[in-house]
Amino acid sequence: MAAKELETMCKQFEEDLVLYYYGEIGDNEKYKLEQHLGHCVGCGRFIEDLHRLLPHIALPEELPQSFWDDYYRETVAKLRDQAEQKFYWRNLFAPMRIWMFPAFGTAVIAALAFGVVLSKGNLPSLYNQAQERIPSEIVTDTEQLEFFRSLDMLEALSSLEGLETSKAESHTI
Amino acid sequence: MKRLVVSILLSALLLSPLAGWAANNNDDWRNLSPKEKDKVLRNYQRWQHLPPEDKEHLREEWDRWQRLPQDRRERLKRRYEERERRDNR
Repeated sequence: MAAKELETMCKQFEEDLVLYYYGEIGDNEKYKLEQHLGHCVGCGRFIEDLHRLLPHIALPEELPQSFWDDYYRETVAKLRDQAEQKFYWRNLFAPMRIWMFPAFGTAVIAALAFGVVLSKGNLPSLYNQAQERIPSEIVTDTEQLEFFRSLDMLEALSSLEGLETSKAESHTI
Repeated sequence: MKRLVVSILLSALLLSPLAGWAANNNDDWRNLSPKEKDKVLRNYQRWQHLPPEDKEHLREEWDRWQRLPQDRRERLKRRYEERERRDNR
């Protein structure tokens, strides 16, 4: 928009005109430029345009402190995200400390040793047990186990006792 | 803290099959012969299909059996085994 409003000037003086505006031009160039400005309407208007427009462009916008605080926070967050994305694979192993590997190894060995001691070296029978899908209420309770083991006999208990009694009676007779 | 929880969970996950394995093992059961194990399983399956009154009766018989003197129990057991052998012939 600003470029549109600027007057066209002589191309060879463009740089000098800007420096002239800022007062940073050498004496020789300044003299030459002023000579030129005396008869060049375009360059004169260009200088006027610079005086009119540049103060507005250069005027710094005053931003509140909260803006800079937010800006700082956002920048820090973005940098952190960037760093995390770069080393995302590290997060996969984050919970795993180096000491955990030997610790897990030891735990596995201890577990195996525990299992072997429990099975008294009779591991195949344990695998078979698992295959048989034994109800835990039988296996874990000695009394239940004995009850189901004796179920047939319990069904015949009365008759067995009857037999026993009649035998005893026949002996006494 | 999060890492500690993750470590504990991992350990538990690793050791859980063993815990179950240990819990499900019983010396009494392990000492049974395959034939006896088969009998227990068969009786258990049969028990599940028994009517409640039969279950009650068998529970009572079990209590009575346990109250019997040791020598009488052995005698009755012997007699039952003899009868079983005879029936299997």
